[in-house]
Amino acid sequence: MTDLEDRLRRDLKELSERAQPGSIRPLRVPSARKAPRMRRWLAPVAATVAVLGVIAGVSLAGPQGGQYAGDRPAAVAGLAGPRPPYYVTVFQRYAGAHGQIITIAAVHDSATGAALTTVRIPTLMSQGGTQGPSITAAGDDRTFVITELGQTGTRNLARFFLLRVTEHGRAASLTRLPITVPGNLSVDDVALSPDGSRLAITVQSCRGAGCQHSGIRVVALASGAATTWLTPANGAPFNVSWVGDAKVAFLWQSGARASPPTQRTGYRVLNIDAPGRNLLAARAISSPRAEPSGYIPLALVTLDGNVVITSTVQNDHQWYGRDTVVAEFVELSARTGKLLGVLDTATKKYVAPGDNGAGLLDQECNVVSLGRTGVHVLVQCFGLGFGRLDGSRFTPLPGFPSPSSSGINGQDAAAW
Amino acid sequence: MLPGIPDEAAGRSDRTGLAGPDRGDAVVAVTDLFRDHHIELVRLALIMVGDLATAEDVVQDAFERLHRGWHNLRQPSSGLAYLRSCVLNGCRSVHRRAAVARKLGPRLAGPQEEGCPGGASAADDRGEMAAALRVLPRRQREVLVLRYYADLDVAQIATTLRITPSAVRSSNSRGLAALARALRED
Repeated sequence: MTDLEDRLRRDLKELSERAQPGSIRPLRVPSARKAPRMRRWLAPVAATVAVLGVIAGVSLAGPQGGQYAGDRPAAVAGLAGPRPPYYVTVFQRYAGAHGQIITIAAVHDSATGAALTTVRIPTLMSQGGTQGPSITAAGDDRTFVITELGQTGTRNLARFFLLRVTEHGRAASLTRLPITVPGNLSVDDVALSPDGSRLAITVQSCRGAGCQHSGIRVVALASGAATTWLTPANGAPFNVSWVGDAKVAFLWQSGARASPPTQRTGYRVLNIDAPGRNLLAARAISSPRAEPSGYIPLALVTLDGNVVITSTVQNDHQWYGRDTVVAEFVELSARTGKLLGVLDTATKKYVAPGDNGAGLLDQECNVVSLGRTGVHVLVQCFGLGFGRLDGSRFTPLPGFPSPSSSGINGQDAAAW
Repeated sequence: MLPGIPDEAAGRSDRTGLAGPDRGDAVVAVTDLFRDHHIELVRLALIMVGDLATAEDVVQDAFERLHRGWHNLRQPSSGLAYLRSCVLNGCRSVHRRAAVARKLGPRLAGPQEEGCPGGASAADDRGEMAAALRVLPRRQREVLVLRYYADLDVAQIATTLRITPSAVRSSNSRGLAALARALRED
């Protein structure tokens, strides 16, 4: 064993010993769920809650407690609009004898999935990247911004690249944008405005063990001029997207277990033309129901601000071998939260090889990118794979994850 | 009494109202796993997420899942492997929600920790190691922690992470190389 392996073993052991038997909270008894949402098989199990306190999560029953409206047409289906001609995926892979990490953007034909061209993106991994690259699209079907994140010492690094795809998608040009984010701010999510003129970036100011502020920074691509909406509240914004060219939707995730009403977790819309720079002055809109773990699924808001498109996953046993998992992509009213339509449903009976099915637990369904009309959505889901939803019709597409991806940071990115 | 589990937990199969003969076994088996491995799993989660409260939550969720699905377990002996996978999956979810995780504390235990045995220099070393681990790609970090903290062999790591043994070996060697570079740079 090398010195490094010895040191690694020793340091990890010492790090872990911050947890001592006497310092750990006992398993807590979770709060009981409302009876109508409990499944029949859980009723007898509930009797053991007081014993082990282990019945916290019942699978989602849908955003309205299972009151789906059947096969209603998609709420936005009446909005005719062309499908974006291209989708772009970004992934990382190892290359060369020394296993250097490189980042690639691949332009695909959204009708056939065929890869049309690839572009290599300068990577920050050599400087310590902890997140994969991300990509966001403008509404012109040709303009994309790719973000690379890294870290050097305690300073955060963020680089932004403008990718322009030519008319036939056979070539693309890459330009580094003159956008800087102060090194004391860490970047989480980035979204390009539909007109391609501004970038919304979720940021946090962190020092030492915690963060002091979080917010959204809107930067003009042409000038680099930035305006920031901040809050010292315990929480952070993420899942940022644009609602038209003057409003930004984001998920405010409260970091406090009992947060005041003004800081509760949920999606909000920030009017960037309105006066004031308080992030939490943003208007709350309806949010997808949180999973038992508290995780709120990704959601995108149509450009008119009226419809929230999101996913639900319902897993009866969440266990290997004999799971039946139902995933749905749904439309909710942004104003009332009412279910407007079910875009697609995937049911998967999951049989895990071997005797360990915990891999299933890491699977999710997500809305990946929304075309400008709201009719066409890129989605990714364990039961469906990756593909496009045109209204309520799903078509699988290749390239996500890329067969060339090394899965270095867990997940590729895609947008159209 | 086991930490966190009331006395009546053990062997309460006749009074739980659960259907099926294996329900009582589930309570006993989960109780045994809790007694024998709870602290070890919290420590594994602590290394991955750096925050004790979050680590405890992740492990609690793992035990919940185990109990819920116990009757489907084909080999009761694989309960610990399942728990490990659940804990790592839970830690990945924490990282996905990194915005909040950072708000609450560092992702991996850092040099700010208080009351560490061994004095300042040892704490600095551990902080340096934590920082170096933090910038590794997720898979490399998980493989190194399972190999050098949990003492799992290649096959066990492959089962836990649901990847091939060759992927374990390459992640291990690449992770060690990257770690060596990072520690030299510091």
